[in-house]
Amino acid sequence: MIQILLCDDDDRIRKEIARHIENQILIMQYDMQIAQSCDSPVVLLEELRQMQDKRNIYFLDVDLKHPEYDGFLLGKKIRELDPNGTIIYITSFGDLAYKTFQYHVEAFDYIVKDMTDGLSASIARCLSSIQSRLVKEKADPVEYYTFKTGDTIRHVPLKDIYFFETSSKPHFVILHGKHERMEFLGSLSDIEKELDDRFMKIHRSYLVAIDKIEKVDLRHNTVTVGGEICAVSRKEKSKLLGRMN
Amino acid sequence: MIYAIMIYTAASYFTEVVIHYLSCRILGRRVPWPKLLLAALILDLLVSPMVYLGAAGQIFTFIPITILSYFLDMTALLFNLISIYLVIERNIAKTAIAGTFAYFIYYQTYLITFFFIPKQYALGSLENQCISITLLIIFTYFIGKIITKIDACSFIERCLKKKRYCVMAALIGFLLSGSPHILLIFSILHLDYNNTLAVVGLGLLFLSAAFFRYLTKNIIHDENEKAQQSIIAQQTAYIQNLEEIQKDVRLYRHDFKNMMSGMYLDIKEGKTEALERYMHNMLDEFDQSIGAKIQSANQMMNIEIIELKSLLMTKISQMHALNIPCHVEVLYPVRSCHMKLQDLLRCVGILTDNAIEAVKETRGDIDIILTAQNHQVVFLISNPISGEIDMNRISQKGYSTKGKGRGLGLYSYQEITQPYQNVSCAAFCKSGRFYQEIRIGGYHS
Repeated sequence: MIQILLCDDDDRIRKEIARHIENQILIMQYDMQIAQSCDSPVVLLEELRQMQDKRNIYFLDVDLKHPEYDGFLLGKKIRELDPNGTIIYITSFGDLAYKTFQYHVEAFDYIVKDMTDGLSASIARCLSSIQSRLVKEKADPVEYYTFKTGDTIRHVPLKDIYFFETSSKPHFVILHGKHERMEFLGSLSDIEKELDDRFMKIHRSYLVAIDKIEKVDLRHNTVTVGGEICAVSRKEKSKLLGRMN
Repeated sequence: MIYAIMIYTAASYFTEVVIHYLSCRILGRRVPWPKLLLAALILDLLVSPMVYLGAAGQIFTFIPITILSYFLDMTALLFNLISIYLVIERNIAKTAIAGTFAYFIYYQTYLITFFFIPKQYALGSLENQCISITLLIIFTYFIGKIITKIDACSFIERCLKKKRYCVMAALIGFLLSGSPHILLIFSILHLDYNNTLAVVGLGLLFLSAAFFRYLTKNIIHDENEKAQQSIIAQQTAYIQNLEEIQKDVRLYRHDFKNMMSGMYLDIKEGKTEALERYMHNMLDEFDQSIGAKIQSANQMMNIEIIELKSLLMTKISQMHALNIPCHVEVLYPVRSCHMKLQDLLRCVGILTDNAIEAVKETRGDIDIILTAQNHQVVFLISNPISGEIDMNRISQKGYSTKGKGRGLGLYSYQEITQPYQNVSCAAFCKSGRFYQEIRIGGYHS
């Protein structure tokens, strides 16, 4: 059962949205329920901390009148506690800085609350696209490597990662992937511990995906991964060759 | 003789360390101590025996002693520059300016230490060198602090902007570094006068400080003027933008009346469906014509770093001119940023220019998202792409999807961000768009 948590400090709107969600769950027979509907971010976070399973759906008001949390900060906090949850924003204006929310909080969608008629339709649309995404994920689960750059959480599919490299800046590593090149705070040994044996630290500055190795140059002690050349330390060479076969 | 060379070499070691240290300070670089000490040691072993033999060994007796020591010191300086180039900063102009100034400061400080030497000065005397070195290190420590305080590093950056300034600064540096010798050559003073030399050193140091002050004042004045001009330009752009909105509103008002009367009729006749459609169109049109402009003006208001705002305004109007739709989001006020302003502007400039270049051909829109939070500033820019981008090659010198002679932008972008411990960069593709992010953390390290 997927839990839905709702937070809006306008009682009327919150009840309205809750009603629409419940209707949709009934009509479409979704495996979901509203676990919390409140006007305070603190109450919501408290509830969330006590939950065991976290892959919830959140409906959050953007313009929360709370001294500590506005919609953006609440979203960020939730992301920290539930990295894989789905966040939908409720806004009264169409000119919301939505891309910021999408990027920093991984917001899934937003609904505009002033159009009462449209509200029901957008909630229905939202829930159905969440449902189809969940179904797709269940059928074809993708493994992610999750890390933080600054205070933004990112997920990169494991199968798209070529290698990690130490940066020339101390304490930074660079992730080289099929679609990205990202620098973040971390250490190769910690990352190696987080990942399974598909990755191997072949040199003090390289942690590579073994199945992504394209070429091994034994004479120069290098491997080619994702089109780039990485050094292999002499110590790890035989181990690497053993693991590759 | 050998004993004297050894003492001189040992003493010179500190000289080299001091020069390297001062250069680091002037350039605003941090070099690990072991590296610096090792470089100084190698250099010292190479240079000082030669200098000592040259000065005291009476090999070149045919050259007058004053000219000879000038020549020797300049040779030592040259070697120092080479070492500084190799160890600290791979930039000839910067090295030439910083190295010569460092040498000058070192030399004058060294001469001042002569005040405290009781006996006649001699290069190979242990006692003399010990006093000199101790004082030198103490003085250098404080001078280093002062250099950081007066921000000599940005002075050099400014010098580099124009070739003329750059050459002038380097020449002045060379002249200054040899200045005590030049005085000696022209007057017929003799090297033996400890106190005379010390006074000369002190005098020169003060003079150069005054000169530096004068120079920076001039430059700062110039820069203020430029900054003011850019503020004026930015404000003009802003006003133009507002006027355009105003114009659109006026136009809209005119249409509005007509629409309202149309709607009034519809209501009277009870055509709710037509009315709904009508209103929907109206809202859409409003969003397109005025809403977007108001939105972007609203967002820009949050940028409180004037220079950044002005840069982005310029870029956005450039996009307008090229008919590139642009979407700007600045969720929280951007007040400060822990990166040197010029560096920040260069980075933002490079990233926006790249996005514009890319979109010029493929057609598409540019998103700019600026988020400031917890003292952290994130600048994100994205543009649509067609096809794949080779992520690994993107930062290589000269890589560009547009052939040779381009692609230096991202390379220098990397060079600029490199020294910052609190800055991290990311580039990625996601659902058909290419993103570039620069994240500036809260603390300078």
